[in-house]
Amino acid sequence: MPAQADFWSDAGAKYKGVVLHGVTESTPPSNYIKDVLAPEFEKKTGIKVEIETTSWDQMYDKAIKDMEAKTGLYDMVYIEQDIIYAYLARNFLVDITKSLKDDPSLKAPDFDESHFTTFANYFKNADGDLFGIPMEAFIKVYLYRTDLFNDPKIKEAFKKETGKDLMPAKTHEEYTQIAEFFTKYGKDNGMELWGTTAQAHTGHPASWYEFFESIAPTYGVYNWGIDPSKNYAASVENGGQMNSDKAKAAMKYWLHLRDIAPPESAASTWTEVGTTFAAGRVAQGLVYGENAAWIASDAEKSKVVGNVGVALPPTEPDVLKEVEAGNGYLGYYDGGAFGLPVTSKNKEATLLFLQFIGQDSVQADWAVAAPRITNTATYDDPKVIEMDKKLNGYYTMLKDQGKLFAGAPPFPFHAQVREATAPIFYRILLGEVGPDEGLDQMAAAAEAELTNLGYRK
Amino acid sequence: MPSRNPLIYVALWLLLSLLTLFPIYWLFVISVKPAVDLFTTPSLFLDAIYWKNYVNVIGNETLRGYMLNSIIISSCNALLVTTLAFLACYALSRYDLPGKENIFFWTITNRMAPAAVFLLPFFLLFTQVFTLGEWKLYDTKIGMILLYCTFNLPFAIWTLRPTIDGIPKELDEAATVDGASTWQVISEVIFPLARPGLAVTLILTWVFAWNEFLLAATLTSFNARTITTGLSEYVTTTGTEWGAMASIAVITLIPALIIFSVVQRHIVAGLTFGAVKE
Repeated sequence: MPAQADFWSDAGAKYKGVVLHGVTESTPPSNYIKDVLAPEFEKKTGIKVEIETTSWDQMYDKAIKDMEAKTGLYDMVYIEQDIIYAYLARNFLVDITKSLKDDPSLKAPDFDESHFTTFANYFKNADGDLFGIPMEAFIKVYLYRTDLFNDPKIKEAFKKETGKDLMPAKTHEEYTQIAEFFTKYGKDNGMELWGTTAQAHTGHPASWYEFFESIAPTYGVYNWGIDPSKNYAASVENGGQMNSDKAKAAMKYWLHLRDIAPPESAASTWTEVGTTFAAGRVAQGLVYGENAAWIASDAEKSKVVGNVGVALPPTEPDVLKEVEAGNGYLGYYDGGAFGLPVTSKNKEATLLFLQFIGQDSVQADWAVAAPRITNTATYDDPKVIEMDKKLNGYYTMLKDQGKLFAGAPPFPFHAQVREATAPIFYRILLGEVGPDEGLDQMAAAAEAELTNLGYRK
Repeated sequence: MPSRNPLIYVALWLLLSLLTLFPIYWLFVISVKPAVDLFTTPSLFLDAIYWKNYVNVIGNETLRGYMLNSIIISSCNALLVTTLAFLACYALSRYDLPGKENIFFWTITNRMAPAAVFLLPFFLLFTQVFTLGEWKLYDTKIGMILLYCTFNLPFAIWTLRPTIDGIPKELDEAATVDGASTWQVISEVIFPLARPGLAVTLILTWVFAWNEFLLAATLTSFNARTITTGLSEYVTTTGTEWGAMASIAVITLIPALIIFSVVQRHIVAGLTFGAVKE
């Protein structure tokens, strides 16, 4: 038997000429796979990889249609963190860990599942087997404008008005005070400046997520207020939290912020809050990490490069302690992975590609080109350390405090419950129903849907 | 009594033109602004022109491929649809087919349901039924050309029939008496007279195929993707790239403008042809 010159060329020889097809959302990390990693892999193995990048809704539409109809069009699909549980429940995905164990000839020497950050845990089943190779990972953070927060004139005005020093908020009360101050300051000075962003679209799932992923947890309401251990209760009377006093306080806090945020907030999704911040229209806000990176570093798109501070989201006074003790989370650990559909016609060749993009050696350049970190070793790479400075310590926060954030709850009924409750949620935003009454109705609607689906017995 | 002052008419037409052209002008303004300025200086006027969006788009090989696919698919579909509609209308106009008015009405029923209704059936047909070994209609240009016939052919038949009906039958009869075959009547008598109507049908079906998004987004991936679906790549988690999208939109207007300018003289004649029966 001839000696192996290189694992990739030897392992790929069997599949030379195969064309792999993947579908993913158009994101900087996905484009890096398409433009850099796929051609590199083809050069090493002779296996061509075609990646289709499209919008979020199209990506899901195409991937799910393909897996449901078993047409085998795609060898790789993007799995967003919150959809993994539905995909696992429907047996859409190949068990990567098991497949590599069953056929050791496919196992790349440089690929090791243990090298992933804890984010990979969201793509594992109960046995700890991996079903997706992590390729994006972000936390939703509190961004603030350092130029405004450090401006002596503004600091003085804030002190005069509130009696406090202006600094990033740690509690909701502080955050509200700062937001109100800057909204008034903008108005008084004829500036296009408001105190906070708000992802408060009145007809898009983004606002629903903002509340349940980012606001409710900071009040101590986790997993959307649904408790699986109590027969999937959502309402307080059955042991849930969706309409608890904490949830109601969270809703009122957020609705107030929405009212003092820029006018586009009522139409803002996860991307527009980033655009608003980048345009210099707000002093602070909760922004998804993938946006935090370009806002802080890309001068072609952002007017606030060099002026972006990163902090943990504000919480109720006791919540941070609760979270640090491991009994909750502060916000959303967002991201995605590449999975291998069971309907793929080229599983072995795909397993090679998935390992290729999961190796430590390709991660640092990827993290610089499209800020995301999925492997622990990436944090220590000099290029990434340099990038971290540009991002005002965002990577450091991801490394040290990423554990305080969490992915979506492991619910396979994710979309169904969201859709059942979202219409009431939008009515709350439109003022057609009060926050207390609305949350009561949402908790009841969630339980009804869970009963329909057979979860509540 | 309406004013006879021509200046008022000129002013009114000018105003109407401005209102009509404003969306295109605004699209152009967006396409030549850097992303960083889009949300901070929503000015109606251009201070400086930033061509980078166009340079990026034109330099993108993938987008050029999408554009070529769009041109091939819409042009072939328009030609095929117009030819088939022309022949169908001739038959409906000149022959006493049993139940021909019902057939005529039935053709339009394909346009009565929203395109989304046909998505899944077509997906399954394209991926699982119309297959030859590894080959399938999914993600092929020929598949999209045929698919668009479903929606464009009924429209073309309904658009073209008044034109064919408006050509006096006596002309066919005279040609037949002179020894012309059916094909000679169609090609040498009907076709030249129907040209304005054919031009209108051709251009409108071309535009429908050119603009279609939903079916193309579902039934193409790598080989037959069109420019309209390519736009969706610019709706990303890190923001919608409005400048790039606007520049693509401006570029996609160009082929349509060229085709319109070529057939423009036929359009007015085609739209009114057969409207008044002699």
